[in-house]
Amino acid sequence: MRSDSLLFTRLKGKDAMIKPLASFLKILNSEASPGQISLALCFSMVAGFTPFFGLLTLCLLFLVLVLKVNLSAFFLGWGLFTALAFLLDPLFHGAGFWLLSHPGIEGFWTSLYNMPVLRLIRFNNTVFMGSFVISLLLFIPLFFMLQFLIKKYRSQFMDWIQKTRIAQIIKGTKIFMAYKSLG
Amino acid sequence: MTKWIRWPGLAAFIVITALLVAGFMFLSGPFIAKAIEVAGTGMVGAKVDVAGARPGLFPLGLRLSGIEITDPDAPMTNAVEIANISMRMDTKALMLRKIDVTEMTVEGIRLGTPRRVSGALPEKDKKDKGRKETGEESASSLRERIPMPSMEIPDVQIILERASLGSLEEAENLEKALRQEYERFDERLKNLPDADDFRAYRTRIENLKRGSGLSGVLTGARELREIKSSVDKDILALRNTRREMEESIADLRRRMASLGSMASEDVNNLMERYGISDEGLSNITGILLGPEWENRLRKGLGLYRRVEPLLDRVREREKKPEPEKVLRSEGVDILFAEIPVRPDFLIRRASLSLEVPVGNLKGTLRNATAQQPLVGSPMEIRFKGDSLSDIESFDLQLVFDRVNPKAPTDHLKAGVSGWHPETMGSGDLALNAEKGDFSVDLISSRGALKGKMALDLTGVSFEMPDSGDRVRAAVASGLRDINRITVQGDLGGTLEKPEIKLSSSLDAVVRGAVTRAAREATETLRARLHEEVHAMTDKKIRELENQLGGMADLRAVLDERLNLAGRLDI
Repeated sequence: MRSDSLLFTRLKGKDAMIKPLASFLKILNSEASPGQISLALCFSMVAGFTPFFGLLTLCLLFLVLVLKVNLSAFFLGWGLFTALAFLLDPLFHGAGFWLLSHPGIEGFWTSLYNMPVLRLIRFNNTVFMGSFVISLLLFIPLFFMLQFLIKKYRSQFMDWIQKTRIAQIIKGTKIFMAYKSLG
Repeated sequence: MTKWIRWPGLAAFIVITALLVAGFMFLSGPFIAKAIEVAGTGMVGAKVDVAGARPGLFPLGLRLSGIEITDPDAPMTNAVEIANISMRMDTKALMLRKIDVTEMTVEGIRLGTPRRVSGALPEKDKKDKGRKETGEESASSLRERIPMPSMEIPDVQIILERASLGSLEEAENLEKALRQEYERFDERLKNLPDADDFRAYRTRIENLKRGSGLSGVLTGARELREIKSSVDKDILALRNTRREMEESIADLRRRMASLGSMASEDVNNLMERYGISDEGLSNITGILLGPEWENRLRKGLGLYRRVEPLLDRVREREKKPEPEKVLRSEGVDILFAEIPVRPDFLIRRASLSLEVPVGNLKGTLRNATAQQPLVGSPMEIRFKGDSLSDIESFDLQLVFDRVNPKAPTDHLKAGVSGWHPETMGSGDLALNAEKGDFSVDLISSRGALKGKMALDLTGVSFEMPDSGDRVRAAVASGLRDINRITVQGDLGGTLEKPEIKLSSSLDAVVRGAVTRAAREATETLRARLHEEVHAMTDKKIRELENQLGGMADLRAVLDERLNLAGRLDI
């Protein structure tokens, strides 16, 4: 956390464009287990897709801080998924609206609606419901897929990528040097 | 399992959460105060100031201090000033986005306190000025409404100058008729045989008597018959004239005799026109107390009219369709049935402390909400006070019943006993009372008012400057012996146009006194008018009688001629 924040303060101009990629490479190349990274990214997906202000965000932060997941991956993923959520909002709204106005489960929603804690989460908001359900549906498949891909990357592509021209360029930038020095 | 737990993370979360809560506690106060100020200003139509707001978590609540609500009609005055409000809220309800105040304490409520700066909203300044002017006008019109009937006895000479008296007109006509009749008979007398004619008859008769011989006797007899015939004709003409004259004189006398009664009739007519009426003081209670109590009623209703829309706001809100939110990333909140249905805002119970000039009043507030049908009980406010400085006991109960929105009924009940009232009335007539008991029971239903009030004043005394006016003197004499007044009031009309009708035993007393004074003044005027009108008529009658004497002279001439005719002895 401390190295990340120090690094980010030094980012300027075009170096900032490389920041996410460098961060991602750093995470992938770190000693963190694929499970920790995958879980962090899955949590970041839920946090990023669902609206920022809410009790759920606080709960996710609690989980992320308490569970040994990769924090860098979580915060990086949170930013990426938040950006993605702006594009997906119409989809979330449509899905949420369909779910919340479905006559077959109206009774269920009504009972939830009268539960104070759930009202605080604003589950009856279409965007929240759509994004929450979609992120939950994607949570487990994404977790296993990411775990598989990270393992695959580390075993087969990590050495090759480090030798590629783009990796060399990144390694040659001041930002990467600084990043590496922070170790 | 523990290899998945990051203990420092837990500590960090606790620290972050604690910082967030602490930040909210210390930094949210000004925002809450501002939000209350903005909402309050919108509702009242004048500035609402909140000096401080402090939220509390355990128990969940809010503490407000230094609340000042400007009187929209008097921007330099606070309609209400509250020192402190502390409230406890239902956490569960707040999570359901409802404000449910379970317990509230309102301390240091004061009414009509001065403000340091004007609380008028910029765009309302002009309207306020206009309203102020109207208010001043209505206040002065209230003062002008006190009618004091005039019982000053008018100047008889002026009345008689202005009046046209039937008796004098008749006297003028009579005078003219008399003159005409005199002239007519005088003219006729000239054409009737006079003393010379009769002397000629006598000479002729004596000559005939001196005649001799048969022919002379026969001729004399024929001529004598002719003379007799002429004399008879003359006598007849004289008698006819005399009869006509008698009739004319009798008619004139009859007309002269009626002048006296016509004069009396003139006096009656003048009394009708210039007589003194006791109308105008038939409701002395209304005159004395009406403007003041009407002003109080209007003031109270003005306050009520400002509060009343807040009770109905929910109906308007329910009618408005929920606006469709289409902002990206915000979505739409789908509403489901609430079980049980709770009002958006509810103060279940509050204890109030109102500081008034006579002391402190303790009060309670129950079920304050704009959605009474959901609560099933009306909103109630009650203030009680004992051992106050100028009042023995005070009890005020207000019930705003909107449980059935189609039949809203608000009820005010108030009772004050052992009250030491200030001077009532105006400078013309002021009422002082040592002690008073007051009660009012007023119902407002759909803008219509209906109610009663009662005021019992003891140790009563009146102040009425002596200006030599008969009315004031009469009213003052009527009021002198009164030391207790029981006033009844009927309240009616509408919220916009309230009506108050006050009556009391005072009315009969004052009315009696004023009536007596009016009667005395009337009799004085009648006597003066009678004297003057009859003096004028009598003078005329005397003149007419003198003129009638002329007619009598003519009659004497006629009588003399008839005597001469009778003495001819034919």
